[in-house]
Amino acid sequence: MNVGLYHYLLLGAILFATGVAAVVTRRNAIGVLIGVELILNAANVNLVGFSRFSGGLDAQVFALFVIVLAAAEAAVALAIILQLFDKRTDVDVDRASSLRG
Amino acid sequence: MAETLPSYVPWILFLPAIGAVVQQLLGPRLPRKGDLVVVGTMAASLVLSVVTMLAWAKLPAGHYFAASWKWFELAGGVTFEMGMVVDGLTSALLCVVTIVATLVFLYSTAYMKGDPRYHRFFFWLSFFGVSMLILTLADNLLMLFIGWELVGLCSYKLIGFWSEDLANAEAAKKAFITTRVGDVGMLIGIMILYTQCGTLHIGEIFAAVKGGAFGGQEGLLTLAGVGLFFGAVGKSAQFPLHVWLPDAMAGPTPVSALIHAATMVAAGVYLSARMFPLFTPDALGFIAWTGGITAFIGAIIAVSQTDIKKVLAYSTISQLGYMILGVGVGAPWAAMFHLCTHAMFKACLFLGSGSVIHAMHHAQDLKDMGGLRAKMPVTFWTFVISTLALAGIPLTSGFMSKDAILLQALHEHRYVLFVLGFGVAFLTAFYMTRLVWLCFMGKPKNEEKFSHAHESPLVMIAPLVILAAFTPWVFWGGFAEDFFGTPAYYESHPDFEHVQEAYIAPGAEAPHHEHPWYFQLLAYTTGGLGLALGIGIFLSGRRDEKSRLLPAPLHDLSVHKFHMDEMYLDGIVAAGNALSEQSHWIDANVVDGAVNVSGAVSLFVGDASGDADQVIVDGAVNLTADVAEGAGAMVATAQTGRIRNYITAALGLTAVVVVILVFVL
Repeated sequence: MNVGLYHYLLLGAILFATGVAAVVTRRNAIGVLIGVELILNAANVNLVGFSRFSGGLDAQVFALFVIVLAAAEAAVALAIILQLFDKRTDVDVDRASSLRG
Repeated sequence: MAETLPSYVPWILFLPAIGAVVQQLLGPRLPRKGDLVVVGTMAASLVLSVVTMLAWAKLPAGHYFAASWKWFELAGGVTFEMGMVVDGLTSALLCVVTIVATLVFLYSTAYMKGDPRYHRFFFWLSFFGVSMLILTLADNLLMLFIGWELVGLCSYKLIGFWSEDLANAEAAKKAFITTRVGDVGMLIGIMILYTQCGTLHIGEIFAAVKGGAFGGQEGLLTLAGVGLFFGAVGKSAQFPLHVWLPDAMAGPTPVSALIHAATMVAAGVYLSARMFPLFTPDALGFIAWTGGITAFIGAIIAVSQTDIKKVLAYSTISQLGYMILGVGVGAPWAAMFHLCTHAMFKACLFLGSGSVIHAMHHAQDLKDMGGLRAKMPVTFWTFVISTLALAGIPLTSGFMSKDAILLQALHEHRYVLFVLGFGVAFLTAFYMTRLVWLCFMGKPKNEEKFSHAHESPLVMIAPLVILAAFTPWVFWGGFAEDFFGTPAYYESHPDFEHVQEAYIAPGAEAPHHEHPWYFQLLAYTTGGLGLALGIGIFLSGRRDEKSRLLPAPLHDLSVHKFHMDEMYLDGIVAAGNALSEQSHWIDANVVDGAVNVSGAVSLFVGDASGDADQVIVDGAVNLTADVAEGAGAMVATAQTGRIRNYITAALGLTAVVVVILVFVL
């Protein structure tokens, strides 16, 4: 089977949809974080795919940035989640709603 | 001609001022409550005054010391100055004031011993000294007026010194208010002079008047002179404002001696002599008659008084009348001469009476006295010597100065005043004999008080002896012409020749007044006659202090003091009370009514505006807030705090945008 741009974008779309579904449906903060990572990597797949078929390396550099960004984001988010756990003994995002209007 | 003021002259003023300040701030904490500071600074001032007088006497004729400093400036370049002038007038009065003040201060240290407000008494005494020296040294009417009012204030505080007794406080008030009446006239006079001459400096005023500042307005100049003289009428207790002086005897006796006999009451005479060149012939006539009438009324009333100090007070009024008469008949130098001699012997008489009162444990009525000669020899003899001077017996100072005035009256053809003057001289000798007799001679009338009487301590009789030492004529020989004949600003007098005649030019021959035989006869015998009549009446021992000594109508007038107090009470005071009652009615009904109406209106307007504020303004504000609150509540429902709602919304919106971008556009 000849792998083309179509397959890249399809994989990206599936990953994105999975990530969004995770973010929206999970009540566990870790699950939400994993969903966000899936969304970011969906974007990475798209960037790599475009890079592969347009002949430049710019997009791959962007993908590297996104990976670094995701690592930083995971560090910050996990720290927040740890704090949340300290305070409330659970990590249920639905119950952590004290900022609501 | 003006000479530079010696640098020590201002210290005549500053030293007692420092004494007064120290006394006020530290008095109660100093040894002897600070009286030595006050006496010492005044004694130093006395030394400087004598030095000043000697320095002035060395100047060539017609020269005087003067200096002035800028004081303050008003918009438009109008400057006011403080200045001092030392001429014969000033230096003689300086010496008189400081001598009498020093002796009275010394005397007070014994007289006031044990008083709970001893230090306060000495503060006011020294402050009085300072004020009197300001008045004496001033070279302009503003500074003179300041001193003038300050001595009035000190007089008020000292008359009412024992204000626990309501009568003393009333007397102080009466003295203060009565002299204020005269001061209004004085202020008017000063204002007229300032308006016309544009200056308050006395020398410049004379120069301006000479230069025609009152050109063709003789009436206004007369008015200015009479206005100034009105100040003197109040201060020097002239008819009809003399009523305060007898009441002022409520103060401690040293105060009566210093303020109400020797110095402050003489300030009016000093002012009149200083401003003499301004007096037009009309004004002089007014002054002469005021003085003559005052001298007569004072002498008549003195005959029937039964309070030792009241006799002396009316005698003072009478003698001040003489001085004013002297100014009025154009002999200001003679008036000043009489002022100086009178200051000495009248201060001696008052201090003597104080010595008697002290010995009698504050009894002042003649009914308690008599026979004190044996118990108080020094007081008695000094009292007699001063009485002789006051009675104008030949070879005393009083004889010289009184006759100088009366001779001038004769010379000016004021025959009525001349005769009146000799009548007063006769009465003076008579009532003083009566006083001495009832007080010191005869038998003691109150054995109990008499048995406790004793001679006063040394610090009280020493001033008596010193003051009595000034009464022989030798001390004053040739003094008057030299000292009062050369007032400052002499050369700028508006009516030079007229003044030249009145003020004897120094070195020049005194205007030679003939002494007609009848004048000499009167002068040499009047006093003796009064004395003899007094002794004759009392020698029999059947007369006492209540005996009628004058013909019936005069006696009634004398006892009732010419009904002056009643006239003031029933006339002016009653009118004032009626007016104030009317004013009160108007105030309570008309003014208060208007105020109340306007208050009610304000209240109504305030209520209405308060309602408007609550309904309209607050309503608008509240509405804004309500709208914001409602909108906020509406939007807040979207804020669930659940992340999935937000993400769903974001995704949904993104999907909508994508659909629009792809399919619609």
